[in-house]
Amino acid sequence: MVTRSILLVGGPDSGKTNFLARLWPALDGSGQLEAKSVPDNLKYVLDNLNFMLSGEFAPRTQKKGDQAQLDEFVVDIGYSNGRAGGDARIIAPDVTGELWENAVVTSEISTDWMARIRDADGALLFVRVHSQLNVDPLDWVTAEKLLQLQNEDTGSDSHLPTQVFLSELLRFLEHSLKRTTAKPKVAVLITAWDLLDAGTQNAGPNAYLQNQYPLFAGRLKHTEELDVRIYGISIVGGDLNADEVFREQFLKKGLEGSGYIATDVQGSTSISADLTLPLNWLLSAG
Amino acid sequence: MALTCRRPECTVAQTGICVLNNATDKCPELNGALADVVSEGLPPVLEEPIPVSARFPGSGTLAPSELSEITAKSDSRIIGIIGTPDAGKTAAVVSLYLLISRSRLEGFEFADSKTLMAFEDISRGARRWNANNPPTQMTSHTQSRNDRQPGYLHLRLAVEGHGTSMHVLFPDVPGEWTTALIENNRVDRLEYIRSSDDIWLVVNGRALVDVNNRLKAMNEVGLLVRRLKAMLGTFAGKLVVTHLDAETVSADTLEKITKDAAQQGVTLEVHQIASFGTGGKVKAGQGLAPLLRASLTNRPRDKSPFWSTADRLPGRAFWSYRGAP
Repeated sequence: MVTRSILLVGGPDSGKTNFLARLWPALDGSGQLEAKSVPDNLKYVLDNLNFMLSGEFAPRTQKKGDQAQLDEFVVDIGYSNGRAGGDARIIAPDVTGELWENAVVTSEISTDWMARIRDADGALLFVRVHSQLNVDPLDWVTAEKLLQLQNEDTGSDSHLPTQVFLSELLRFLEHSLKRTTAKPKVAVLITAWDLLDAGTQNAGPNAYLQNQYPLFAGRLKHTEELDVRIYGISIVGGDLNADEVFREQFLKKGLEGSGYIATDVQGSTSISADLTLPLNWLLSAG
Repeated sequence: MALTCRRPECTVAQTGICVLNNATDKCPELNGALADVVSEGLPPVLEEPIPVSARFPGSGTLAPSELSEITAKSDSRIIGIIGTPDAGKTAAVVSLYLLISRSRLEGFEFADSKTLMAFEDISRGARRWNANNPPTQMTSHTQSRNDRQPGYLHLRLAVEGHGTSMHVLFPDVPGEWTTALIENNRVDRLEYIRSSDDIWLVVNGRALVDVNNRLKAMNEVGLLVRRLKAMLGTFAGKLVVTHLDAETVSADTLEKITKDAAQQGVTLEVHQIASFGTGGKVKAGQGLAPLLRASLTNRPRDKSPFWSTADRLPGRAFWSYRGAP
């Protein structure tokens, strides 16, 4: 069986772990991809899935010492509904957002992780709606004050704007992802899509990025090195943490049919219940 | 004991001659010699360390040697920005970056930058010139983000009405270099101006409206024009007057400056800009989009005519070709 490695890329609190936890039940055959067997090592995904099944999102992942990798999700998949082909063993290591933060700040990464990037068949790049860790671009008032501070230490601990962070991650992927005859693929996942108002959701994921992160949107639009698609994703369809009504409904209904993917299709927004769509696109040829 | 060597290319075992020209009893690569060294209590030769970290290409400023990779393959403009330390050069570049960051640079869309972290650092004032010992030339920049090194900032912009995107390069250099040019004719540091497709001569608008500083500022601009003319010959560029948000410089002052320049054979197109909108009279970044558009859409400066226009040298003539009879 072909082994395909998928990178999960994104800062802290961007939704990588919750996505991975939700992906396992999504491979139940209801979408385009399905798991061909139960993975040997399911504990990590199950631990985080159990939060969801109890009506809450998995908390922010805590680093274990210096170790950037949290665990690895390995699953054999193929096309669902009797369709032949698509068989692959997917390896998706879950990593701390701090790994990528550090890489952007220092331009350095361990040789082990660089090898993983070079070996990866594609990447899922995460950004979360309304995350408290998202940082806006500098404004003119602040910039003018900083420039007027003559020869004073302005401090290097100010946080990098999220769109600059994402653009730098994209640059790393352009530089290092495995190259074949086709361009490497990157699926951008805008997580917690359900937190947006209806108007913003209807405008679609591309418009969201253009309004919220124009530098990053420009990079995605004009990259010559990567094949990029943008998805909005809600893993359960609502906010388990803040919406008590939704939480009660979810606990009654369960995961089946919960969650959706939003994509831009010819000027309008298409909604699909198939949470395996981004992975299916990453793994498909062309 | 037969001599053997750790280096595969060494033929000491067959010839008795060390490939490193070492004495065979002293070469550290010889297996027999190594054993002797170890037995003398000296530490063994260390193995080459295995690197534990890998690097991505940085996104600090670009050294001049890195520009050809961009300029050779694509539509590009190098903007030569020059001005004294208080002129507002950095503020103009920062404001341009902030406009792009918020998609407010009218007529332009951000496509890429190879120096994004440099823009961020300069915007936050995190990288400053060493006031006591500013750098004296553009060199290969270090990877350290703590040092502000002279170099180029890069943007790739999709320009409205222009089929493809364009690369724009701005030098980030200390204003002290301009002062040194004016005061001491130090042209060596300003070689980057020669390779520029357009020149922005940046002057502090506040000084031009202050009755106590106006004449000094105008004199300074005039001297700068003369120095540049001596470097470049006649040229056309932009007079970028900053601090439009403070007060508008009078038309008479601007006319005097441009007329004096014209007498030198230098054509200056005036652009007044407000990098920041202090006071709320004008918007932050006003004037930058038209300035940039003028630089990108105008024909690039003729930097170095291929053939010299020097007068014909005496005593030289071409013999006419004598074809077959």
